[in-house]
Amino acid sequence: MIKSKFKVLIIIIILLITLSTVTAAEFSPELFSELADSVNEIPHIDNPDFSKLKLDNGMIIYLVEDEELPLVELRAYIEGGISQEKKEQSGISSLMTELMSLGTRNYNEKEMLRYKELNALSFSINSNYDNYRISGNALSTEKEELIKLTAEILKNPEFNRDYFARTVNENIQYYKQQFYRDDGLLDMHFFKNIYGEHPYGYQYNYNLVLDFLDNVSPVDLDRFYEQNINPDQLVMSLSGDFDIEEMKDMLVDYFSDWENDNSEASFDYVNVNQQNHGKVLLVNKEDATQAKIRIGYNFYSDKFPKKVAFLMGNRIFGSGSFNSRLMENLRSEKGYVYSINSQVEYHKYGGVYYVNLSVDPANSYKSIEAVRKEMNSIKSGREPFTEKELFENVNLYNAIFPKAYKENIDIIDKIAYEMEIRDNSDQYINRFIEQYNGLEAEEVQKIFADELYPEIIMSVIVGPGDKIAEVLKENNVDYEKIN
Amino acid sequence: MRIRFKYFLKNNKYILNLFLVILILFVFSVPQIFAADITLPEYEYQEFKLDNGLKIMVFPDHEVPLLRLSIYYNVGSIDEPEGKTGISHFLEHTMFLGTEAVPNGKIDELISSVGGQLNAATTFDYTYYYHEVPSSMLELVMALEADRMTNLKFDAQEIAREKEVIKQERRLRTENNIFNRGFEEIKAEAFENSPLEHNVIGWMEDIESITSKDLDSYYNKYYAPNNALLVLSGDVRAENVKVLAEKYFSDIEKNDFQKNTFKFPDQKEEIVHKVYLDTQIPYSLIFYKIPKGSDKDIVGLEIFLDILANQQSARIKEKLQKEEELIIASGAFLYQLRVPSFALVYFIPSEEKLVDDAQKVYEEVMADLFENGISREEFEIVKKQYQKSIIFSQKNIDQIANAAALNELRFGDPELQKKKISILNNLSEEDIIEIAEKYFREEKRTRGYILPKNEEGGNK
Repeated sequence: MIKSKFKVLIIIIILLITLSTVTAAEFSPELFSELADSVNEIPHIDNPDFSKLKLDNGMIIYLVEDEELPLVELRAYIEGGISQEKKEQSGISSLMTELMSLGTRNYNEKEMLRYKELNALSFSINSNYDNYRISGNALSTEKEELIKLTAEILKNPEFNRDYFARTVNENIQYYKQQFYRDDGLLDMHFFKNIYGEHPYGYQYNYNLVLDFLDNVSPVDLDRFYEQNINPDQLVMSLSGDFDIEEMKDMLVDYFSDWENDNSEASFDYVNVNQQNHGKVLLVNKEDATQAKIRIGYNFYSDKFPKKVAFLMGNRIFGSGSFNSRLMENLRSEKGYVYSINSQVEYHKYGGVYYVNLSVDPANSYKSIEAVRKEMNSIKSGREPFTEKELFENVNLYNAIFPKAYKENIDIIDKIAYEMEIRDNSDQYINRFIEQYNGLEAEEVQKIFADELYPEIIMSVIVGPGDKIAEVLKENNVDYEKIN
Repeated sequence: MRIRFKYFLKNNKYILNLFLVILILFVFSVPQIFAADITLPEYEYQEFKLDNGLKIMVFPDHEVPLLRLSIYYNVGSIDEPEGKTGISHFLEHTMFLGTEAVPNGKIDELISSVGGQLNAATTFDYTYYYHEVPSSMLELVMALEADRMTNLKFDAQEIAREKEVIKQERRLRTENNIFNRGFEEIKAEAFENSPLEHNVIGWMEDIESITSKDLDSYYNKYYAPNNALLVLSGDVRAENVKVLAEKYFSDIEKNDFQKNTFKFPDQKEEIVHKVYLDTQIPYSLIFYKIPKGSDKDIVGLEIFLDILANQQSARIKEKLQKEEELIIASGAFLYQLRVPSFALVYFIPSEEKLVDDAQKVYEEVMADLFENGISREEFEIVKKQYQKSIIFSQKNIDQIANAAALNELRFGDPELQKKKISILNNLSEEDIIEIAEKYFREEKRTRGYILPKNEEGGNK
């Protein structure tokens, strides 16, 4: 009896405490400062148990069993990609991958499509600067169909089919349309100048691509395929609801007869053209109501050793969220832009650093100058990065990493890429986490400032030529106009 | 009968063998895809309501220590008064300009300081804000949303600057995008004199005319707890949400108002509208009027559009793209709003001179579908894809929460997806055609074209 009275008393006390916290809230800056107190734990990403299989032909596969859902997911890289194109073959990588997905020696277009759809298979292969990227998935009941489809597409392409002429024509229309899109024009004039006579730039030189498409034959594609798609260049990851040993047998069955063709990859680094430094290109698009702008310069290849510090510096400067310095200045203070971002791209043979923005044509000069001023204030050390700015970005990464690597397919794909293609360890993700957590603002400031070159930025502006020219002339800017 | 059959077998061995060969070929060459009924996994969620009408849904998933708070207001561009188009979206921007307790820019700073992210979006029929933060920050995001539900500031100078940002957003997303610009103009013709006439961003002259006073009164009318839905997903517990909802939201007063409803004006004949822009390739857009998103016919329309335009082997792709080589791409969208809605079918003819031919073949495809129907195989393919996408969606609790929340917000029915699946499982191929014929009629549609205004074509 006494015990139960005691219980009731405890319950009443708990209720009273609860009710006292449920009083109406008074909102104040102090309340929010008090509530916003979270230092997120440094995450550790646990690698799933994985198994590695290397076939005699050199093909490598990483496998993880994951029975959470009745699915199988596949990702793969094939080294090569756009970097292997010659000037007279501009655009061949993407045409080849598009055609590979349409049909093979054993399946015409209709049969291939029917096979994919009846089995609910997803499969895609795309060309990137330094590799081909493959991804696919299926319900686990169709795992073998997914492997069979992947093997068929990779081993037995057939370019000389009725879809060849149609796809080439569709690509011609696509590239012609780029001359009418401000995004298309911006990409073309920025990247073809930045990358110059390097395959990275050919794909943006739409006239080169159109010349190639006018003359391409299935034989050209056969040859390019033989040289570039080989099993010893392929690293695959598989995760899902399957038995590892059974899957290994399946992979051996479908891929072990795939032979390598003896071919040598070509390696050329991007040559920096100093004539681009300080250049302003005004691309006339008479019907545009905005100025679309990209400013930037050549940057390091993916071997740049200070990538992590530069990444954090760039987040503070312009690739972070609404409170990056560029957003604060050009949107929140001046109202010039809806969005602005700074990006770094690292590729195997050279990279690029640039800022994207679009503004009212009347603000085109002022906005470029505002970006340059922000760069200079960091470069000169007038407004160095603060510990608070760095902490916000580190804290965000610590919060989102566990979600970014929640799925086994994402972890194993990263492990396979880092170990096989970039020669890193299977702990790459955790090393990366350690690195950004070990940074200090001063170090980030120094590395970022050292690599900022506001004096050499090349500017490409796409928009109504006369209006923008007037603004540039008023401010004594030398520019080259392209109609 | 049995004797006759035996007799037939005995005397028609050749026919029998042929039949067996065909049967074997059929069995071994066609994957067995006759999909079972689609099933939807059960999700555990809690739903409750405060006295002021604020509805709250909680979808727990403790896999990673993050939570997502989303708040939906049941107001969008269809609710806007004449001359003030774009005001819902303008108000969305204003929501980041601060309160007394959280001045302009501070909300980004607070969320960034805890390692979180935030953003917002406005649509035809709702406006949505979200925060993704570490799970220990539940109280912070609850307090932030309660504060700006009731204490938003309307500073004329800040609003004037934000107006410039919005005008630039319109230039970026609508005016300088060929498809979006044509879509805006053709849709305005299709839905003239209805709340769907204008796009979410609004007309430039209306954006220009919106004042801080307009925003203030729009806010006071629509940003009330009884017009909102608060959704939490991820590493969160319903008990904690309940306590904090009482603490921060229960004192906010509700505001009763009459919701806008409308019917499309009666259309007797097809509308045709052409837009001339600086483009090499033309676009064909066809708008159809359909019922609101909770209507029982919506599922049938979804299946029909997949078979017509969306799946890889869709009829338009097969006939117009692969067989006749008239177009280079195609697709369809179904807008499922809380009011009468619309479907859009589009295709991109490869050249201007092929626009009429493409349209003619499109009519033939539609006529063939209405006359001969869809095949069992087409239907089963769509169903199988649907089942697969349901399984994939289980990976993401935020996606599950968002789907249920929209059904609750728009139609007061978080279980609507389950009902739709039950409808789908009971549909026949004939039902789908019958439904499509009801809405996809020539005299009720608008045909629009985005055509090149120049003659330079690809010579640029």
